[in-house]
Amino acid sequence: MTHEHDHLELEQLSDWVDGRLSPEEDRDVKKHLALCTTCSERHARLQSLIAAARALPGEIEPPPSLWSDVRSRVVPVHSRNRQWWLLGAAALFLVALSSAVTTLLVRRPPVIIVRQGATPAAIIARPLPALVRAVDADYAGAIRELDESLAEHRRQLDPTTVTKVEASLHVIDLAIEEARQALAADPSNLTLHDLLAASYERKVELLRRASALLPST
Amino acid sequence: MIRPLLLRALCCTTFVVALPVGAIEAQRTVDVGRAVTSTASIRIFGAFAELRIRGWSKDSIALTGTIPSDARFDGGFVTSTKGPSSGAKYFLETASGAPSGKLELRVPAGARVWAKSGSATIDVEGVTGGLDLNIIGGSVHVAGRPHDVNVESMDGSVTVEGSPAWVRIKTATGDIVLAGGSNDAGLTTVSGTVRVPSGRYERARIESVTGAVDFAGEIARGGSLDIDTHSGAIDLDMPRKTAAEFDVASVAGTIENRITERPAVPSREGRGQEIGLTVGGGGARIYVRTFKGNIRLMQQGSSKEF
Repeated sequence: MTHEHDHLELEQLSDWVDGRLSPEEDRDVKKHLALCTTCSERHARLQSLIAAARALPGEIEPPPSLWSDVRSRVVPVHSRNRQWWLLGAAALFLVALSSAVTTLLVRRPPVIIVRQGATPAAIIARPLPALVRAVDADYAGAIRELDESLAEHRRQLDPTTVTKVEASLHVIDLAIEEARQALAADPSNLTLHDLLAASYERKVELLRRASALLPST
Repeated sequence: MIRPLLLRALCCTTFVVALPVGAIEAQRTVDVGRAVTSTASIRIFGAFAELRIRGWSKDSIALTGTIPSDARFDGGFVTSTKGPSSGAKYFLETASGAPSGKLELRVPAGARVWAKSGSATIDVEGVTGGLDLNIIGGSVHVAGRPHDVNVESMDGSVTVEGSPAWVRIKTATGDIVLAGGSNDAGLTTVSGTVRVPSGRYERARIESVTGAVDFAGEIARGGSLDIDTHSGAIDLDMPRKTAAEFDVASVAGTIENRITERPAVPSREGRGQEIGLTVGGGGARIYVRTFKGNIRLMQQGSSKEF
């Protein structure tokens, strides 16, 4: 970031998320994120990716048959070529593994927020399909974070603005609730899954924008 | 007894009438300017009520207007030891906190302007650089061909009549109008309406929760249009020469197709309706999803009465 209107490099953003920047750089990044929608969105995506990655199992075991299959193909080959076959097989395995991980990540929509208290008790009481819980969980962290930040500083916002934000959040919450109920009744419906995730994204986006309205930003 | 009472009443009336007049008159002028680079960056934020931004062919910035006399107006130009300044930053704070003051900002056409206010009317014309505008209420109007436009508003309406290469508009309840086309457009609202009455688009994405979407633009061959709403109705009024593949579904709403003879069918996923169409040999991709909004697919020139 050399100029206030340039965007943050992904590497810089990543270092910031990991807490590897100097206090001065840290201030610069925070200031930039408060003002730059593009970088703020990129940051949210990065956070969601990290959250999704954290949710993955620590290790992914290859199928038991994979290594014996690889070995059976490698053994007959001339020793000079063996290394290349091994490398090739390893590369194939890594590609397959990478694809599996990518698929897992892509299938999980970016993480975002459920306001505390926004989920009706009736829904909490009802057992929800894993898919709905997964979408809820994906967004819960980010929503909670933004919600808390907003709640903490809401006095700094004009009451009319707060009313407007809350009215829109209410509209989104109703949409989320409807989509959740529909998905609970029809867990295999991918369209519903996408629409639920989209409503959550609207909510995160609105909360982020409301936070950006705080005088300090 | 009557005369003093009348006098007092008269005095009070005069005071009440004089107060707003005095308040209106308590203004001061703003008039700053300086040579800047042709791609200078200008930031202006605070409680201005009206901001006109005009791109001009001069490599200089001129900020003029009137603000309340008790307002705090700070800022200045980025200093440069060699040549013109690379930008400016100004801040306006009114004593009451309420938006006030009318400003006109003239900038080199290729400049990048960043403006943020609580509730304001922002009108932009002739800027070919970049715009980043943020309001809560009021309205934003952009005309011309800015390279990129980013507008965020809560309940302020946003109208972009130019053809920015890249445009993002986000509102909560504010209505959005985009006319003129774009290579890459993203329009998002919670409950405002989204209207795209014209223009050619390479990639367009429209998202709404309850707001209705009315799209009548042209999608470039190889381009894409993605629309999703929760309950907002969606009207697609496509040009006759459209060459696209449509993939359209409503989970709990209806779909009416006037582009071809084919009716929508019950969704493969068990509820709602869906329809897949290829018109004009395909080429563009149009993907529409809604939870319970009703969708109408139309061809321009045909009757919109269903």
